[in-house]
Amino acid sequence: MLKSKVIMVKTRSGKILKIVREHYLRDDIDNGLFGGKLDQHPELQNDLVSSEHFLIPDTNVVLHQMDVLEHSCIMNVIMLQTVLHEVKHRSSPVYKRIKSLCANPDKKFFVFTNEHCIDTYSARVKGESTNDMNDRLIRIAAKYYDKCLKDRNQTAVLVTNDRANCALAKKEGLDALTIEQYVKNIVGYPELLDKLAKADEAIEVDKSISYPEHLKLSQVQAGVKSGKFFQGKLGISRENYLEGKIITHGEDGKEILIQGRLNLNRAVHEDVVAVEMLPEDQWSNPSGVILDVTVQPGAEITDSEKKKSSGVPTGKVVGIIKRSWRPYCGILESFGSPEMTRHLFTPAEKRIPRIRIETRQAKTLIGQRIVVAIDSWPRFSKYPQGHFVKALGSVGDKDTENEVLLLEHDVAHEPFSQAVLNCLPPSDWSIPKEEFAVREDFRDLPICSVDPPGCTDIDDCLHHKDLGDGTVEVGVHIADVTHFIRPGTPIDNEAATRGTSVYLCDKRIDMVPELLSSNLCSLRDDGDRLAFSCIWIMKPNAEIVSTRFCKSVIRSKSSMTYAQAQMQIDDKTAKDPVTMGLRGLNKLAKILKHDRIEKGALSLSSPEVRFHVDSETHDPIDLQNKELRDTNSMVEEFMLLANCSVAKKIQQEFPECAVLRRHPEPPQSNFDVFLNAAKSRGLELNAATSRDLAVSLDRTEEPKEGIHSYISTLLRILATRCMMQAVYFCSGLESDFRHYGLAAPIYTHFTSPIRRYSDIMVHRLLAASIGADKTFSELLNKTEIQNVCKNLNFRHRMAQYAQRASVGLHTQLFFRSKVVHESGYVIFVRKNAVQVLIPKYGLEGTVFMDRDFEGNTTVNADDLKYIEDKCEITVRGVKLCVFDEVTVQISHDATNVQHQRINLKLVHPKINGISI
Amino acid sequence: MEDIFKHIQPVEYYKSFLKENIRPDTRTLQQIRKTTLNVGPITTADGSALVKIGNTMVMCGVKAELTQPTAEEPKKGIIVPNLDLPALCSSKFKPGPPNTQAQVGTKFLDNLIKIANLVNSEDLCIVPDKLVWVLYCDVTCLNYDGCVIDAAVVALVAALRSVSLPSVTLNEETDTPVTNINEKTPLTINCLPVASSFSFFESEHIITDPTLSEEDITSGCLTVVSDEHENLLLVDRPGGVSITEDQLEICIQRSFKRTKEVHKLYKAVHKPSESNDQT
Amino acid sequence: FELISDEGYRFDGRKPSELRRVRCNMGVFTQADGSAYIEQGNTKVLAAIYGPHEASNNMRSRVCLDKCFINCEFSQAMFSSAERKKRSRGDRKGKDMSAHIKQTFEAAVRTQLYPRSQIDIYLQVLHSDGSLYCACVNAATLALIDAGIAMKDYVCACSASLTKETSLIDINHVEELAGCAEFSAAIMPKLDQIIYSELNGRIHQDELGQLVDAVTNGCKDIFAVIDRFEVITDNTEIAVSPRSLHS
Repeated sequence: MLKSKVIMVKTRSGKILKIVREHYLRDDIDNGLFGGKLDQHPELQNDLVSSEHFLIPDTNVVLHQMDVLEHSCIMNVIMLQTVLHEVKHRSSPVYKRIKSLCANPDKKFFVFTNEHCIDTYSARVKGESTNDMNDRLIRIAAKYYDKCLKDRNQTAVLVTNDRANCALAKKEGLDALTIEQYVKNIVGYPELLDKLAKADEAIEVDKSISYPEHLKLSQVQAGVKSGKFFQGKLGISRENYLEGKIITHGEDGKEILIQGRLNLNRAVHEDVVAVEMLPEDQWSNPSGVILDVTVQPGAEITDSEKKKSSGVPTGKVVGIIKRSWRPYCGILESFGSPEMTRHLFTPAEKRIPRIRIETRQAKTLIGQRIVVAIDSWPRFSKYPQGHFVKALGSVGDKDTENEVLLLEHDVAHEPFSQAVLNCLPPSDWSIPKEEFAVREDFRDLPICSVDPPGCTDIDDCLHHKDLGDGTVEVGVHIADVTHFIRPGTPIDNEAATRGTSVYLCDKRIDMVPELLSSNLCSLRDDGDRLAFSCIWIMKPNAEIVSTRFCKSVIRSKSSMTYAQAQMQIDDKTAKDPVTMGLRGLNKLAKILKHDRIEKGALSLSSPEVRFHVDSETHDPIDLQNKELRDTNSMVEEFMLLANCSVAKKIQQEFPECAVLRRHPEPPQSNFDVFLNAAKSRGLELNAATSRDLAVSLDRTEEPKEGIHSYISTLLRILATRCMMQAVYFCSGLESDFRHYGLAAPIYTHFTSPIRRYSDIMVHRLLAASIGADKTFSELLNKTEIQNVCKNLNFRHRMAQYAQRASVGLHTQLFFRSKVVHESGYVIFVRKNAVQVLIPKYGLEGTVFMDRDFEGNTTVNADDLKYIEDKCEITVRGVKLCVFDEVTVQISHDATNVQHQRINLKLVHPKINGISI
Repeated sequence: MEDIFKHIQPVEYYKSFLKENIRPDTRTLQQIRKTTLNVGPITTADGSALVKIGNTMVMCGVKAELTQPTAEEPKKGIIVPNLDLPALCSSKFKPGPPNTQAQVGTKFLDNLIKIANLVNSEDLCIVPDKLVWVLYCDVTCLNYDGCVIDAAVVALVAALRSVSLPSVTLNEETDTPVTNINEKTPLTINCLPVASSFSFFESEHIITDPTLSEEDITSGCLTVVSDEHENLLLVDRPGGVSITEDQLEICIQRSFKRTKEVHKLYKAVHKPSESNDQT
Repeated sequence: FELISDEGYRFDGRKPSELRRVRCNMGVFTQADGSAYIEQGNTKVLAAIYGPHEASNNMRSRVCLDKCFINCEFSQAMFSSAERKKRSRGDRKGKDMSAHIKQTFEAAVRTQLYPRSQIDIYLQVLHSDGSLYCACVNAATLALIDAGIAMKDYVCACSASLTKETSLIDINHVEELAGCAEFSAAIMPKLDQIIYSELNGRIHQDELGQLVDAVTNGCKDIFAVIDRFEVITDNTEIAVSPRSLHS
């Protein structure tokens, strides 16, 4: 058993705690050489290494050169436990990447548990630092492999980022190379050189800039502890890339503004930073100025623009606690000779600074979307430096741009892996006999589905039946996805990671493979399907008499679009059971909706448009606003009702681990700007409770003198932007369950399991609570659930952003060769611009009031008058207020390849120097 | 036969041996049992020692913690000894709160630490009035066969000698201690006292290092603590038959001799660094 | 925080189904009627048995006419864990542990052979590094054997925890801290009976079978070790490298 092991006792003195750990050494640790991953002939050749060789990277190589290691030619690598441990402590994203490399059988990365191997263990030498000890352990392991490989005429090459360690290794007789040396001399893959991360010395020293030195992590931590510094995640403003803020940790998290290059001090968007407060007389205000980097690369708002003394808390970055760098999509800037190797890269995300890179492929890369990673940001370099990762395709190409927006929003969109596909049932799957025994048979009921046109993943069906005793039976039938996706399987894990399907304008990124999403689970009207049903008995006044849930088999009689369903309802001659059912449902839905609004549910609005896409080129050819019919709201009402009923049930059954959805009440301050804007037009709104808000919004529907009738919709659009994000959570870990927008005490998502993972979890809980399925450990573990919820919340947010970006992209494509005059409304007034919304296209844009589109100032500050309280701006005597109707010219601007965009130019009212 | 005699008439039984100037365990009256010292068996403690005198077995573990000093002595660290005589070590003791003997023993160790000035309590001070070390010295008897206090003293001293304290500074801003584990200083021990216990049988026999059964039948006990320079530190004589000055002198002389022997043991085991400790 | 690496090794280098090094010794004290010392990794426990003897005065009420009663006392040396715990013998954890061990041995000792008497099991933890209950039971078994007290079978105990669908047996302190459910059981290996089991924390019912299997195998491994135990050094030595001197 354990006889062969020597005992080592490691003592680690923490604060004053003495923790004693055993450390067993083994003689049976696999080194991968005999029948393992390393039992082969490595093929990669290198001019500096004469023989077949395996690579042993040290920690820094893994931390900084992942893009090299991920290249397909790098194989046969020995990953030491020591290295993995260190990487895990220093960077979790890199750790994830290296783990997935180790799991990939093609890469042949072998993990060697060197610290427990009797041949490669070594205790700490007195006075040795952890770093030195790890380096030594790595060298010992390399020596061990060298010895083992000798018989096979192979060698192990230690690659390191650190010259000193390299020299030391050579002195000990090891084959050691720095990663630069190694990569430069690889035979046959010159492009690898571009992927090499740059060491922490500036490629080009900018004489103009010298950033303050960052404090050491220990100083930063001590400062944060003592309250001298504040820690928080930096969020750069979307409108001004030289301005950001952090929200400090703790319950009373406050906002600290950071302005200007030097105060930001090399912190990048989303980095966790330590901030020191500036003296109060240097406090400043967020600039109302919109800073457009693409128009005027040189223009910056810096310290030169002195602010009023009474400002908000303002600080400067003194240290970086954690970098959140990721690979960024963007383009090479076109100036500079393509023969040169040094270039500037502009990320697509405006909040990220430009990045200096070295590449020899500039000629081919210009005009392409590329991906670049940041390596470091030295003090004397204006921009961070990075390296080229990969090219995506040419700019403006729709597929490339789609790829960019998926990458930028971290949407997993690669095809499903074989392991996932293996979980699928055969494509000719049909319902097995035994399922009929355990399910209710609803195939005779007049069940139908109502969805948007072109919908292939039908989650939900409805039915309505008069029971003849004064009550009616109403059923909502949801695709029984959990019958196919069993917990813990690869397909389940993949769905949990993706979290949601993502709908772009021209494509759908599925959460589950198509066979399920569009066929076996989709409740089409072409055969029997498995469903999870929620059946109510209702009185004609929509009062619920009873609720029950069951697994069932259904056969949809008809898959309709909203319009079709509406036509059937309106067609007086139709008397078939489905139509009768639809009418009954419609009637009940109106009562339900009325009740809901009585309770204070909000009906908000957002301009949504649909693109008509050319069937061949997939380019948008027309677009229309989404119409809202009765049938839309009919389906919605019953889905809400089902979700509420299910939420109650699972919370009752599993009070500690129900997956619920909550919409927090927004703090009043969120409404400040909105209420002020309404007030400036004489509209008194009240947002004290959701009901107050709903009532006062309804009041704006009444026509009022001097205001156009669209204002009510505008207000609803703006009110939406004051809301908080609704989130999934685990009921055992929170106490507030309320859904503000729906005015519901408890809510969850049950009705779309094909496209949301939350619904899959809810299905499982519900199935367990009615005894239709078994529970399993992760289902009842609240921390686990909360972790999944966290990911779902993140994925949903990202999906939303991606959707928005996709609409933006299509809007651009639509206007590519058009110039249109259209009326719009001012929705925000800023210091030097107004924000205009064009409802017809769901388009929103900035119209500058002080410059033309080449960025030249055309209006002096004297001619601009901005009154914040009244939300109005006066330019050369012409006054523009919030909610004013204006006419703008919409055109597509391709002068900047990276940020092609829609330009809005003022047509009416006429302002000299501004309008056209 | 002999066993029954021993149990029924312990005193007579004992006398029969004394007549031959020997003890039931074959020792002479002056002879001390085999003494064993092992330092550092408990790695969770900051210092530890296991001492055996014959069958008597005592373990001492020292835990160092940070605390605020008392208001009266703001510059002094604190040493808290505790002697535990659990039911495990002898059928004599019952489970429950510390018995009288344990309390007396604890007080004895406390006195000894103060009188011998075992550790300069100023050495344990980090920031006056704010932060000092407190050393909890827990002495547990594992097997009780007489002379527990002798073993306890050796264990305590040896355990304290093996303590190394990390350097600690007080962060002024946060008022929290910062520990530097790489800088450890061994504790300075000012003197190495040794305790020797004696029993008196029928006021004429002085029995050195009595076992439990000897303690039971003899009347009165005497514990002498001395250091290597033949200084007397403590003489504890808790009642019993009266003894003469000569007898006391004999005991003291024997104690000096015993001290020298134990010193060899102290010296032999003392390793200046914590050799089995690796960070 | 992973208890087990993808290569299948735990923090300390063990595989999931491996025990720590077990060393034990019997008859370590002279005062007690039976005694034993056991080391399971860094968990070190002393056990002493007094009895069977006439019930002591304060225990009169517990005397049974047809069998003996077992009195168990668990205590932990102050210096035995990383943090000095100021707990007296009367604390809740100690009482709990005492009660559990008492129940365990009431099931294993042939108590009807010793009517109207008392057997004391005293346990002293010198060094604690997880799986305390198990080490105590194993030590007490050896001490009872040393005392010559009749038992139905050996009692062997082992703990297990579940992570990533793998059961880890004989868990140490670091693994206990990870917060996974901890399952301990004492079995009589030859009779194949479970006489004590305790689950701390939450697991799904489907996982219990796996844990029971793991623990049972662990107990049998322990049995194999203590049945023909490895003597530590000589028969009175508790710890390593002593220096001694005769006077």
